Amino acid sequence: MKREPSGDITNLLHAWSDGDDEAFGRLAEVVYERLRRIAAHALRYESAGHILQTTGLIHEAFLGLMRQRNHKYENREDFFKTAALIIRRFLLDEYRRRKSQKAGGHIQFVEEEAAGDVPDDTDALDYEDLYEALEALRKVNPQWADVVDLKIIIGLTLEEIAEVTGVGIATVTRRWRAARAWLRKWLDES
Amino acid sequence: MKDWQKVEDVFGKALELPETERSAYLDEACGEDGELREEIEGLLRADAGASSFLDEAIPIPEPPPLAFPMTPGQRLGAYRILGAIGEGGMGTVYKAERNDGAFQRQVAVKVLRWDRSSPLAADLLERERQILANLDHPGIARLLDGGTTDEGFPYVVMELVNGEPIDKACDRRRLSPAQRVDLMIQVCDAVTEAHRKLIVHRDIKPANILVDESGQPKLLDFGIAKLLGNLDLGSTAETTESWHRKLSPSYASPEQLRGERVTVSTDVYLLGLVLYKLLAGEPAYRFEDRSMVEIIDHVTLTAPQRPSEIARGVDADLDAIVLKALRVEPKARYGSVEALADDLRRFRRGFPVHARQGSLRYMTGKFLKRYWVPLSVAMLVLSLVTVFTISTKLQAQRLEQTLGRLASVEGFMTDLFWSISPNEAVGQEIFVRDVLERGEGQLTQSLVKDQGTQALLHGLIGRIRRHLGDLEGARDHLENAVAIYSGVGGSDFVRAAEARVMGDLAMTHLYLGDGEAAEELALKALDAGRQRLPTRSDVYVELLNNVSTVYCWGQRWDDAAPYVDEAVGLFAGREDTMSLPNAVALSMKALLVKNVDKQPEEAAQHYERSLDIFRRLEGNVNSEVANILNQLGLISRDSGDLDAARGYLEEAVEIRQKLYPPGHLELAQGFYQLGLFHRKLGDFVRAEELLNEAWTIYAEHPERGKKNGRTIFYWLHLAEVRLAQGRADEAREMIDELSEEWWASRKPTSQLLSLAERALGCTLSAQGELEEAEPLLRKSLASLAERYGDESWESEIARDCLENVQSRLLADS
Repeated sequence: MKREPSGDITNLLHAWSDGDDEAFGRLAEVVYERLRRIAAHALRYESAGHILQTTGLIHEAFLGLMRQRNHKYENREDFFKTAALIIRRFLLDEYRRRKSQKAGGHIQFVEEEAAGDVPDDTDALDYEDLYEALEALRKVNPQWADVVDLKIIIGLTLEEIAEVTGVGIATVTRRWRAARAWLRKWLDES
Repeated sequence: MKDWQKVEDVFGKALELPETERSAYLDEACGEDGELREEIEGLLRADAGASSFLDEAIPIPEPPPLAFPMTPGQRLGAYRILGAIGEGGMGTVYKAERNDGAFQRQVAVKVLRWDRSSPLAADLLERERQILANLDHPGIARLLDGGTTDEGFPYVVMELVNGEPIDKACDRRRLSPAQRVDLMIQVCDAVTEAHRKLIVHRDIKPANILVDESGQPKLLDFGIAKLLGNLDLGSTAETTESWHRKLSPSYASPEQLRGERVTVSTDVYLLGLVLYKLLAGEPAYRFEDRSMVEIIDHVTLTAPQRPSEIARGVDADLDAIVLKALRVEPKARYGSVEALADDLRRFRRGFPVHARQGSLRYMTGKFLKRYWVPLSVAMLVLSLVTVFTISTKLQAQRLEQTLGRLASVEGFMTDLFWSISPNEAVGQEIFVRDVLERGEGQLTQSLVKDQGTQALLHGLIGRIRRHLGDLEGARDHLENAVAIYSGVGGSDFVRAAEARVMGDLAMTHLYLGDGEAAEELALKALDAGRQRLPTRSDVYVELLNNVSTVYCWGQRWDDAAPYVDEAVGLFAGREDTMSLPNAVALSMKALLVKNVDKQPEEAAQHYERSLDIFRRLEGNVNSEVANILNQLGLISRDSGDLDAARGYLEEAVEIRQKLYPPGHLELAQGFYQLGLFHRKLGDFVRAEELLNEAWTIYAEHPERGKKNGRTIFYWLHLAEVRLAQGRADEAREMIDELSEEWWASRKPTSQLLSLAERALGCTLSAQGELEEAEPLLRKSLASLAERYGDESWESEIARDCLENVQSRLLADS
């Protein structure tokens, strides 16, 4: 049965994946799952206004996708770009928040199994630094930064990135290695 | 500008080469471009040390656990956790015990899901705490304590209800439909209590109604309850409702599903759903895995099956009651939970239920009248109180503007009150009083710091109290307001506000019986108003009207005349004469013309104009309109235009019947006037009906009763009307019901005594006991003539009787 767009992201996604492009639907699921988690965070921590903002953004991203059902590559990229933007911002806020808590900020955060998800040993990557590096890269070479977004922010494989962007796998791999090396170098130098 | 495409290409190719060959390749590819070469070598070095760098996507941390789990044995203040007993709307509920050595009791502890760093969580819990603290009812689980866990999660401690959800309890106990209805009546009473405190539960479902071992149902979980009228908290809760609620659509009203305004009607609907489940055995609606849009469509477009179609033994009356509670449009449902309970009670007693009679429009009209006007006023008051509180934080120079705005809101609000007379508000008083008490609480707890604001608030509350008929309360507030105003300097605005408050205080004194204080204040207020207010303003006319009213009240017509004339004159040359103060001034002018100039026809003209304004501004159903119609009726009657008189009086009675609930004292006066009129016309049958109505209202009124003077007054008229129909024995019996003491305790000049003597005298005359009748009638006539005038109708009745007796006595001798 056909559903009309409503306030429910799941419905939007279903309506959209009713289309013929199942592969893309599967990719969008990946994004959706990550976004859903972000919404859950927002719901639990933030004030009412903030919740609406976050869920509103997520909603917008999917609505944008709905409007552009012709599945042109640039439209898909647009969708993933929006999603990446949401996730980057969220990660920055969230990691900052956690850091301030460890520094004795608010209450100690209670985690169960989820503790493994969070790099909290001193050697681990500091997301805040990575974020800065990524933004620096975006300024000098946005094409590379986009690949980084799709790879580590959205969480697609290189093959999936090729599929989404319509660029050959060899090129995607090359860009990814170059971008990764660039980030590493930036982090080491700073 | 770097050629990134080239960097990418060369870097990519170099990667594919063994490390030993890379240098040579770079020589060739980069040529003289040292910068390019440096960049690529740097990247290659970095790449070598980054084999597993960023292999995985950045993890998005798991959302935090929903509740901070408490473990058995853990202590929470004075309580020890025994174990979890359920998940509520906002948190986990644990069973816990308190053991002080002295006494031991088990309690329910609800620990909030959100930590205290979330302002929303704190608000919500604080609100629930406030709500519960205000509720003390056997059908509502009581609040015992509250606090914050060491981890920062707020909690509340509540009475532990050892019981099971109402639907399971009914099934296990195999209760009959009638017994289930009885349980629901108790639940309705608990919800009604909450509504009296302006609290809408809005999450009523079987899981939130537990029936304990004694069979007492208890309402739980006011977690998402809403304070009606508390706009401040209401808005936060509204926007986030769907999130908190995790809507269980089977127990949600259409307006909740659509995200619309939640009112007391929502609880009526939810109670309807519970009742449906209890009677039919299954929910009114089932939504397995449907989208929100479908659910809303379904609920708004399809009525549920009748419970009797699903379960046996359900009466058609119960079908009607349930379906009436489940109407999609809130206005089509029962007007209140009390009305729902009332219909359930009627069903249990075998009376016809309202759900099956009367037109919807009628019910809606009643509902709006009896409930919403005071509620909307209540909301305004509360929002005002909020604004007042906030305004104290404003800069001094901005306060003036704020007060200006408030004054206009206040005007609007009190206008609403003008339209309901004091007596009419009796039914809704509880609501309004509750709201007022909150405002007063803010004042007495000195939450309002700014003096100007205090004065405004006192003035406002005083004005409302006055219209509610609480004159003492009004006086206290108004006096406070006047005292504060007199101590502060201020602009014209403040002085104008002061004048208005003084005027209100003057009227309050007047009705409390202190005419001197009223006169002094009314004049002082007018004086202040003259200096500060434009004479065209309604407030100024109101101040004039106050003075006129004081004088008219004391029948000092000559003193009143200049003020009345000034007020009427202010409107004489104006286009915009449609103002309430003008209408009041005109009816006072009519009073003067009738009583001083003895020009009833001219008086009637003024009344007509006043009536026109009231009708247009306030609508037909209005106590002022009824009063004026009554006056016009009396004037027409006296001038001999009996048809016109009947029209006026009948309409006055009709309006009063719409205005007041059956049994209201104001109705009695209308019935009496009309009854008297028919008696004078000689239609004794109709007169008897009407007088009997009047008498019944007074006799059955809890604060009046059969011994009340006015009740006896109607009684005597009724006796005389029966006598006039030749039923002398009945009349005699009626008069004999007046006790010896009653006769003895009357002052010789008492109006009632003279009427009683007349009634008895005439009855004795009809029964042939002329000797006894004669002195009674003589005495009666003397005092009636004194009181009403020799020519008055009252005296004429007595005189006719007396002359008849005397002529028969003469004939006998």
